[in-house]
Amino acid sequence: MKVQFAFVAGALAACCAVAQAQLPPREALGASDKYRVLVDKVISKANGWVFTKEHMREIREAGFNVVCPRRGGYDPARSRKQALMAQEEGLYFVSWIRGSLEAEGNVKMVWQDGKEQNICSPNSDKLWDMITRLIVEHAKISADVPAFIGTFLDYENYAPDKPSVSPHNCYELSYDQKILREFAAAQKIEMPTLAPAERYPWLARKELHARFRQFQIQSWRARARKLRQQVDSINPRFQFILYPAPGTLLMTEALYPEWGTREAPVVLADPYTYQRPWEFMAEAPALALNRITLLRGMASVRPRGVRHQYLGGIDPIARSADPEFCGKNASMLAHLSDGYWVFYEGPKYTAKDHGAYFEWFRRANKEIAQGIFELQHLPRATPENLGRTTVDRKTDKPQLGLFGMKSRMFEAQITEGTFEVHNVEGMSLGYLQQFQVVVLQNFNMPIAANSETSRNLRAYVEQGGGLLLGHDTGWFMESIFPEVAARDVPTKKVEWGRHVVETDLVVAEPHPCLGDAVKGRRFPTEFRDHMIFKAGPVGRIVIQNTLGDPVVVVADVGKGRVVFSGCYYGYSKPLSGLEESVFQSMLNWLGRLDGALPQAAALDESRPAPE
Amino acid sequence: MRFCVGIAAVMGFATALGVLEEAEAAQRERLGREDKWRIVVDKVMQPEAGWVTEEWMVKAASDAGFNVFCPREGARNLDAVRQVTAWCQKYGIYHMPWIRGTLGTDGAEADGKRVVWSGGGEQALWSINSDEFWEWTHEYIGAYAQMSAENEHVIGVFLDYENYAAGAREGNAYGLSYDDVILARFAEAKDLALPDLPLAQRKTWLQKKGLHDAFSTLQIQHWRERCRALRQAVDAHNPSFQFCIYPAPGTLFMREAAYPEWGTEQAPLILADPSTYGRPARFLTQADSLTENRRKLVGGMNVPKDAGIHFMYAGGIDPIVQGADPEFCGKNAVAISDVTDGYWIFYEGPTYRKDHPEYWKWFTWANGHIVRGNYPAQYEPRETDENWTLDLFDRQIPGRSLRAADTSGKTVTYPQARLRGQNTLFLACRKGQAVEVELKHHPLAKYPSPLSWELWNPGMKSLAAGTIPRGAADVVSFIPTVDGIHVLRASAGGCAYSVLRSNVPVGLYAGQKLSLFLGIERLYFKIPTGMQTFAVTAFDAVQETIRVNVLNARGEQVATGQTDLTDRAVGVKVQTLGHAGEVWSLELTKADEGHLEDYWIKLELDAKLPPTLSLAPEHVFELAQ
Repeated sequence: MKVQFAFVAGALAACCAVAQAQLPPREALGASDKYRVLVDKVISKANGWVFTKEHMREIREAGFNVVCPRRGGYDPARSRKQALMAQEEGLYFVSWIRGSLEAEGNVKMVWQDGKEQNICSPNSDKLWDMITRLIVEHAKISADVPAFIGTFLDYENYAPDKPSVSPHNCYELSYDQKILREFAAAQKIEMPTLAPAERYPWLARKELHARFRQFQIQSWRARARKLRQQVDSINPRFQFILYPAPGTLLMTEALYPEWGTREAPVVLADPYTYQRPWEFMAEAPALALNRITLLRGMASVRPRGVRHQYLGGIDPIARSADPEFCGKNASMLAHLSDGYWVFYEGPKYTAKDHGAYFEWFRRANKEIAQGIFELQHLPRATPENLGRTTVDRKTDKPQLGLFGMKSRMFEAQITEGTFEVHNVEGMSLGYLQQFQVVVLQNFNMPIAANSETSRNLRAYVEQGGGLLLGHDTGWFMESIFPEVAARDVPTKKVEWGRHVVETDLVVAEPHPCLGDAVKGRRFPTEFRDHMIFKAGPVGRIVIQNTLGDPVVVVADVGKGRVVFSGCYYGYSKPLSGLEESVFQSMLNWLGRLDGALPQAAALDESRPAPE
Repeated sequence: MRFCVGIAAVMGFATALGVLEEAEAAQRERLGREDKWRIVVDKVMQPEAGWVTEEWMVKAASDAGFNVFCPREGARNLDAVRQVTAWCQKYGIYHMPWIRGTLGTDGAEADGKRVVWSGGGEQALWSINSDEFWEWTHEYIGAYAQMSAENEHVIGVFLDYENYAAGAREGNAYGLSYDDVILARFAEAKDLALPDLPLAQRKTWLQKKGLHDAFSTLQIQHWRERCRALRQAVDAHNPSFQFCIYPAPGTLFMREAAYPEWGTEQAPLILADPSTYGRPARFLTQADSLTENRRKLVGGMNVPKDAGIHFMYAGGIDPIVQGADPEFCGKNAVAISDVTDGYWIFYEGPTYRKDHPEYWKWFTWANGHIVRGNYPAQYEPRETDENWTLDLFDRQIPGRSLRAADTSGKTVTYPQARLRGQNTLFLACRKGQAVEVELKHHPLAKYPSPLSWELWNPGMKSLAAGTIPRGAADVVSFIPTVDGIHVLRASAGGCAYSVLRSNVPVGLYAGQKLSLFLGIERLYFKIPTGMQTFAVTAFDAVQETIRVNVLNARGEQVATGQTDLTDRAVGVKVQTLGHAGEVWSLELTKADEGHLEDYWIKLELDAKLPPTLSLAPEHVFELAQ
């Protein structure tokens, strides 16, 4: 109803031909007037991607202070028209373009592993020409239209053939021929013609990679600097809004330092707070974790020496980003950062759907504009989806719950046939207890051991469940079983601070959880990295890597069993060889399909019967 | 833009997100990033050993979970610095020598080279523009940097720019100085012939000549050159050597010179903010205080952020400040670390063998939670009772409180006693017994402020607030739901106000400065039994003077004192001579010289006395355990 009212009110206001609304002071944006940015894919979409004055008014009346149409940025005339429309309604305006471009020539992005992708390399003249042309056009409009404050550059990698391994957004170093030739010429070195996959190894082998990296970054910086200078000559206050923050290599090493100026701080748009960290997490802990994520993102930029403003992001398309959560998320994000932005997609432009979202955004924006951030703390008003409480058991087989496993692993377990397989869709103790075994792979939540989820997981194991904490799960989550294992920091062959890469594993000791694998048996893994652990007093290291770091640590805990595994199972292809048989043995051991009685029960039986 | 978020996708920038924490020594490069700063500047353990660091102190800091030890004394003894570093290495933590960013001097050799403020005030400090200051700075910081190249457990230097020197200071170190050195440099650069200007006329002269902006620019540029040279000298030894500067966000010197020159990509500047030392206001609950402290830090960080420098930000704690009780300090540490890159303590106030264990317990608690990333711990309910006595009494007298003899509910009309400025009034209340206190606003000049008041219960819960219009009187009335001292704070801005009547005892808080207006015939207080001497201190305002007469229970004047036009404070020492345990009074009246008119005076009672003055003898308060 309220949305319908808003529509009517908007129409009435239009009929009255009110005077042009005044823009709030530009210098207050992000300071006393926190950013409230709407990147629209809902309102104009319903009108064939054409914005109207009424749309702008509706957005302004919902309390946003910046509008960014998802479409129109490539067409300066359309951008100008949209910007003027926004200005008339007292809204600031940002044009949206991608920071990447489909490749047509031969300067395609070549990733470190040699994978070639059908997008322009960051060294492509065509890409930079396109970006420069559009942004200079935007800047020219901004000189005439004060509401036009900048360009939103989206560096997400949307191409279908992007690498399966992070980092994969635009851009990391490219190993394309163009930059390699330029590097060779600048360094006066003879470089053989190398296949894409041979380029990085060759540079590393020749100890040229650090110089190559520096060279390429300097090349990006020179291009970025030139563009900033061009923009400055038109409008030094013109801002660049960069997504996804905290950023890719191109963003952090080149665009941040070159595009952030005293007059025009670069605006960093963080997407890692789009929704709840886990679909079935309650609102309050979800906001708490998003808060941590935002603060860490902001902290990572502080030492970089960049003139910037930082915005947390919201995206209603995710199922867990319901309207109330989005409003409260906005309140939390704006409280700590310089404001927030919404990638507004997902809702239908109806009073029920869009209306519900805008009602919560309106509540948040009203407070934020007054410097009040209480909404985030209010009790939940609408019912939450906290996940399932029952497992739909169909057979008498032991029940296996999988989280974070690709479909190939799900299918493989169905084919293997020992377990009835389900996705994990809840985290209550009662729900967990309906599984014999639960596998949480990359359940990457930075939660404390005393959080409700952690306490449920511990109780599940103590009362007889089998739990495998896979890959990065044990990195992000404070150890629920410190007596068994806790995350460790690798020192050799490290990527991302926590992964050991390209290193085989070795059986450290025979154990029922490994089947018949013998001590010292070495085997490769399907995925290229793993994390490592420090074993606790009762943890048994059953698998380590060839560097000697513990990779799989197991133990009985109460009546149940737990496996800490640093491996990612089945990332890009099915498991094979010893890794496959070990994985299956671990599941069987966790599910007590090895015939062992629970430890506590076994102990009880060993005691003499009471007199 | 359907960015792959959620649990699996947090890994996208996972290094930045890393929540790993190690019980062992943090790796140097993780300090202030994944491993938040937990810096202790020690002034509590060192006194136990004659202000030197001993190994047990470093071990204690490490055991308590700090990752940087920073002894308050000893930085000028390079052997001691080396030794502390070795101990830090042994116990897996890091060392940051602490030195002042100021250097005192009162000898003739410093004539013309001392700090001169814009108003002409000169302090016995070497000017920031003097060679002597920078030679001294280079000597020590250079030595630390050299040490850090040999042992990575020296990570930087803690530079304290608080202005501790006597004299007419205008702020912390440094603002623009108008000393001979920089003026001569300016004259040379601009090819000017400067007249021989008295200190107090230098700024005005520059402004009149339209030269002040250029002078400011030149001086700041000079500072930057000095800072750059120091950074370069440090970089020659160790480019990772960090400068930690206090008080952040900073003075002019810090913002304009230290910010851009000392923060580098390899060694981000560490900014130590003191604004979160304790509770941000009196009688504020822990929860509200932490909220406000977090807000201050988020705002404070915007200053270096907007400057675009390489920095890390750490909020400060100082147990010596009022309201910084042990539990609050622990929770404050977690709250600060929640929103910044960590925290630092200026660890002073507690006595090692008395209340240090309690403080240390809570810092250990905090460090454990910070290391685990468990920031929600800041919201855990108070374990120790939180009430206004924490704010009122010296922390070394736990459990001390106030009581009033008469709580009969009988209304007493008070003789006129005008108050001005913000004051705290205690109301001795009984549960369920209606309270009525009538307040009156007394207009002064054209000051427009109404009389604002706010009321708290003994648990520091805010009960009500209101305003009384200019010139009006109104009754603050409520029914207490608990027994005990309720707190009423009042202020009428530039105007005065008074308490006309009350049906519960009202005490004017004089444990710190009580602001009064014009003369007052009688203010009553009770001398505790057994007390042989006490003191009262009065402070006047500029151009005003005050006489304080002390009268015993029989109304006999037993002591007197007055301020004069040169000495703005007077302490009156009194012997009780057999009249302890009785109700005494003060008379505030005009001094022999000067005026007692439109300004306020402030009054402090001896810390041994009940910290209240009452408007009627039957309404005096006593100390209670």
